[in-house]
Amino acid sequence: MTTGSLGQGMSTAIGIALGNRLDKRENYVYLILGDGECDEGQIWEGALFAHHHKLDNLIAFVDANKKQLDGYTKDINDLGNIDEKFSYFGWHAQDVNGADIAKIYEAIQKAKEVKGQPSVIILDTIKGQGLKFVEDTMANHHMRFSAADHKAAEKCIIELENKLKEYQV
Amino acid sequence: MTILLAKNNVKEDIEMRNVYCQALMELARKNDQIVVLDADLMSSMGMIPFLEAFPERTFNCGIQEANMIGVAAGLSTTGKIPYAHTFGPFATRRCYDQIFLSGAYTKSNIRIIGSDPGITAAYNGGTHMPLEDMGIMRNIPEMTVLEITDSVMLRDIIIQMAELYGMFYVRLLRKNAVKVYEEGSTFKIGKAVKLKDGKDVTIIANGIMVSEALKAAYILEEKRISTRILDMFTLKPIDKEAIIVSAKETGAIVTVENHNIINGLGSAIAEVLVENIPIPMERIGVKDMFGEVGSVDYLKERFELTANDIVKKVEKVLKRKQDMALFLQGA
Repeated sequence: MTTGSLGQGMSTAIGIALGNRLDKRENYVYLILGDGECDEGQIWEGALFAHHHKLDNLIAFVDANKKQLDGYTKDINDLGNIDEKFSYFGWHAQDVNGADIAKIYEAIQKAKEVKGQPSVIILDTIKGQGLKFVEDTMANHHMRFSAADHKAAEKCIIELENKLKEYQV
Repeated sequence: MTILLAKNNVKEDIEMRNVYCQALMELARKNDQIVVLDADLMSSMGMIPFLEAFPERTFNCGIQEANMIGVAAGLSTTGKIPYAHTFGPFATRRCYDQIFLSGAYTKSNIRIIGSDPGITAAYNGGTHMPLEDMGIMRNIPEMTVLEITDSVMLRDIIIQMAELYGMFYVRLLRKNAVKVYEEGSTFKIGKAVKLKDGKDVTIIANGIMVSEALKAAYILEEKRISTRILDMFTLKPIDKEAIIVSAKETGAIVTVENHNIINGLGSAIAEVLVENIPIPMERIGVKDMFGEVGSVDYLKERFELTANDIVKKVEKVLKRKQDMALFLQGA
């Protein structure tokens, strides 16, 4: 299901959750949203609807990396406290460190226990987290490596390969 | 396809919205995958009986058309068969990107119903008049675009669509249509219906303009002009063959639509003619203007959509046909 045009994934995820419920399936629908994406009105249309329909089989994540393409979210359209906003729309909201997989897992388990409400887990993240070169680049929503960045790019690849080894079972 | 034509050009007793609701209830009783969505216009669309009979399969999203389309798309991925309704402009312009991407691009299975076509929004005025809806829907790849003529066609199409997969836009009247087809008529999506044969000119119309075209044909008969009439209820995929055959056999076409003359029926037919058989063609439609408040009869006069306007255009196109013949003779 494409979510390329931002905001639309909220509605389609809701539709899938409704269909699952009609068919009495027990699985969850996981929806990933960007924080900048929460600028879109359709997110809030969906938020109203999901609460009204008590969609407790829907668990959304917001990748709150505090940036969007043109800069910091607080400078473009300040989102304030995203967790509070979703709470006011009737969702169960949690904040977790987006780099801590154990904490994310715990939050998902908690969300699954919530009945009668959809859940959102706000992930506190840094854009490009884990690669210092990328973290330190301001405009890192979309990056191209030029010939001049050749050495930096190579370093990033080596770092990533080392990280991958950490996750190998 | 079985066509039985009604006589007399009179209004039907039953409202289209009641036929819509009844057809959906019939489908829902047999098929538990049928689901209905609306954006706070269920009462306007006569759908309360459906809601009462099938509350778990009715999703009134409230005034949020973008979400409604996405929810319909999501439901369709789980095997449900959604029929999503709101007024024409809100079913198309308002949620265009959602129809395009969550719908067509993703290959979802949604029937989008846009009611109160063109001037039939009447006293709701310009804000509620869809005069570009057919055109913008036609511009989406893999979209089937239909305009319903009367309740007999409506019932048949609503029922047929339950067995089909894809994206559909259906434009229809909420209140009483003029009866064109007798009970028992069945239709083939993509095939125009020849309502009347003739050899001097072909009038191609859809929706409420079909009955107007029939009125014009009677006037033209008195002027000894033999008129063929086609009901092109499927705008996309357009019935190319019917257009080319009529162009060959009559040599002149007038298109009539309750829609902007830009990008609707006239444009679609012109595209076929230009690439195959460029005979003279004239368009009747709203001349790229905004809608206005008024009764349907007043608006027909205002926007030059009456039988008399059609007759004038036929006379114009016949003059062009004559001029072209002379020109070609001289060549």
